[in-house]
Amino acid sequence: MPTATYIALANTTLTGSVSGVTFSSIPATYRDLVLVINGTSNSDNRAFYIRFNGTSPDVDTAMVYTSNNTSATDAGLYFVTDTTQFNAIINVMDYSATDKHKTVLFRTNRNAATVMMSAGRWASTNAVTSMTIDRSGFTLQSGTTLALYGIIS
Amino acid sequence: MSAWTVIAHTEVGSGGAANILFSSIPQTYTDLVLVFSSRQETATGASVFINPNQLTTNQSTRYLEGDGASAASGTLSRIFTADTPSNATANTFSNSIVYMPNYAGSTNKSFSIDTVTENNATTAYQRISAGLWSVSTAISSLEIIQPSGDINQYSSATLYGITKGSSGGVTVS
Repeated sequence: MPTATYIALANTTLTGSVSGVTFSSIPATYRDLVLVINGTSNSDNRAFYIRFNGTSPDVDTAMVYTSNNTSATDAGLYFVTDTTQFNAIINVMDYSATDKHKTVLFRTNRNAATVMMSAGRWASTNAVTSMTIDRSGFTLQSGTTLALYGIIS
Repeated sequence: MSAWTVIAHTEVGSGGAANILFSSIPQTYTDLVLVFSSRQETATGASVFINPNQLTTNQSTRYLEGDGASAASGTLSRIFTADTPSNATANTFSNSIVYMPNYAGSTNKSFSIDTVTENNATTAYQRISAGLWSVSTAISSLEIIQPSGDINQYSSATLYGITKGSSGGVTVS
């Protein structure tokens, strides 16, 4: 039996509109994390942030992205939502390392408007123990699913 | 326990094939991932269509692509990936990964698609795409089919199921 390397850690299916979801008590026993989000939001083109360990969205974070034909940089680590079905796949590399900043790769798939890829950095040497996905003033809608996986190296 | 499970794998034999069809897909997984390598038997076009439940309607894709010289974006009323045509360098194949979250759910189905063609020349394509099948029916089959001509011998496809779960003491709120 080969060693399992892609482990389901936690998931939720929203039963109502919520402004944020937090995955907590993430153990340091995996190499990378993968977060898969599929659903809808109450407003188009809204950046929902990934916040590690409860930090503010624009503190020690930066990313570069390409969206349709444009490319730019921005503060914060985020994917972009839509009122029609969207999905986002987020990879957090070496999330438990205490000797390096954390690299994050995002894919946002909004068929209605944009396909977007992003590379971000959380400038902290703290291990990631929690991830919060939220956006003040906006909500993810009922039926949206969020699933977190751990990858073993 | 691994979240990934191999559901099925196939390779195209001598003479090529009109399509690759995964049918009777169990509804017991959370997401599906289709990984395939293909080449087409014609020199026209450079795409492969993905037909959920072998249906060609209610599909759309928004894409961002580069061809070695320039970048472009656009839309197409099909779910599609890039494919290596017959006039590309011999023995080169395209590679595609199609992620389908909540394929068994009762909402519209969104796709995340990464695809590249291979060609030992100045032009080859890489593309990321957001696909949408605007149908609430669960996906029970997936067809890979060329717009024209057959799929070349040695093309291969593997379908994986991903199962969500809870482990390691992680909580969600």
